[in-house]
Parts: sequence; structure tokens; C-alpha cells
Amino acid sequence: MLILTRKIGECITIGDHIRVYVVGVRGKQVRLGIEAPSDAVVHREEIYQRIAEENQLAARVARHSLDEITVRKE
Amino acid sequence: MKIETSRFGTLDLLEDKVIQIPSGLFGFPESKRYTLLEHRKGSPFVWLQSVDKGSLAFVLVDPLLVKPDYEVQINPQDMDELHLADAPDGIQTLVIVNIASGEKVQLTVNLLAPIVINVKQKSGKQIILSDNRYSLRHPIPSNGIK
Repeated sequence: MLILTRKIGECITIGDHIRVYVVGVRGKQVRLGIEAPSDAVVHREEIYQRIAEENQLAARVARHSLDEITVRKE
Repeated sequence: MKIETSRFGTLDLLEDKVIQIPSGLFGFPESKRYTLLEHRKGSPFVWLQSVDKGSLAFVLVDPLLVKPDYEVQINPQDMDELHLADAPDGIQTLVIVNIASGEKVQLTVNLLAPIVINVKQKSGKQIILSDNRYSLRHPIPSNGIK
């Protein structure tokens, strides 16, 4: 892993097309500005984790529980 | 091809019923081949059954039945990966159903991370939408599915 020190307003460049700016720092929070082409996907890391957890819960659904809940509704 | 599943017993699958999901679903990267099974005759729900792991399956539903104005914006990288530009009429979008067991037991759907399938090519991917209108746990309205 490459570890760099940047000041507010400074930037790093990843490849030819992606720039990440340090927009501000407040306490333990860092605000980043990201300039990237529209085909580069940018997500917060936690979103992957949350979707993985939701999938893990969904994988526990049994056939009968789906029937029970849909029948109860009708 | 015969597979043993925990929910459906032994299935005899034709090769052309297999959907390749090369990157797997989030949290399940190791399972890359799935098949779609109907829940019951006439049911809006289908099961995405893993071919690689018999105990792994998800309930899916057409998101438009839950949210008629649902929109999926597929980013160019995913479009390329699934060769969707060549298949504008052969794209199927399904969302994963979950049972939320909070104060009231309720069905929810994950509108944030739908599964997009290139029907002709039989390949798919779970994508993440960059659209803050959609949640991981969108409740299915109590009057059910339209």
C-alpha cells in the first residue's frame, strides 16, 4: 500500500483520469473530492459490506417462510 | 447435470439453464453459477439457486411489481462486462427478497443492489446503483405485490 501525506486542497492522481482531492479535515473526518470518468465506479467501502450482510440474511430464507408470510398477507 | 439442493432436493439441470455470475453475489464470491426456479406456479417469486453450492439460494422478484417506477442505471463498466449493449431487449432485472423480522415480520427487497441478467448470454451480475432513492430494505407494501 502506498501511503501519502497531503494537505487540504492537494490532490493525488490515480492513472490518467482519476483525481482525489483532500477537500477538508475536521477532527477524525476527511472529506474527499473525487474526479473520475463516468465509467469508474466509486462507492464507499461500507456499502459493499452492507450489501454482503443483506445477502447473507437473504440466503437464510426458507421456502416455507416465504409461503407463510405471503399467505398471511392475502 | 444433477445437483443436490437443500430446498429443492435433487435437480436435473439442462446446461442452458445455467446462468454465469462470474463475480458472484456480494458476500458469496465463490458461487458463480446459478439457475432460476419458480417458487410455485403463478407465484411472482423465483429462486436463484446456486449450482455450485446446493444450500445457497435467494428469493428474487421483478422490482417493477414492488415499485412500478423503479429505474436501473447500469454503469458503462457493467454494461461492457455483461455485453448489454448488444442485448437491449434481453436484459432481465431482479431484486433479492428478504424477510425482516423486526417488530413486524415483513418482506423487503434490496432495490439498491439488483441482479441484472443478460438473458441471451445467460450471464449476470449483482450491481450497485448510485441512486439514493433506493434502499437495501425496501418494504413490500402490505397490500402485497401488484
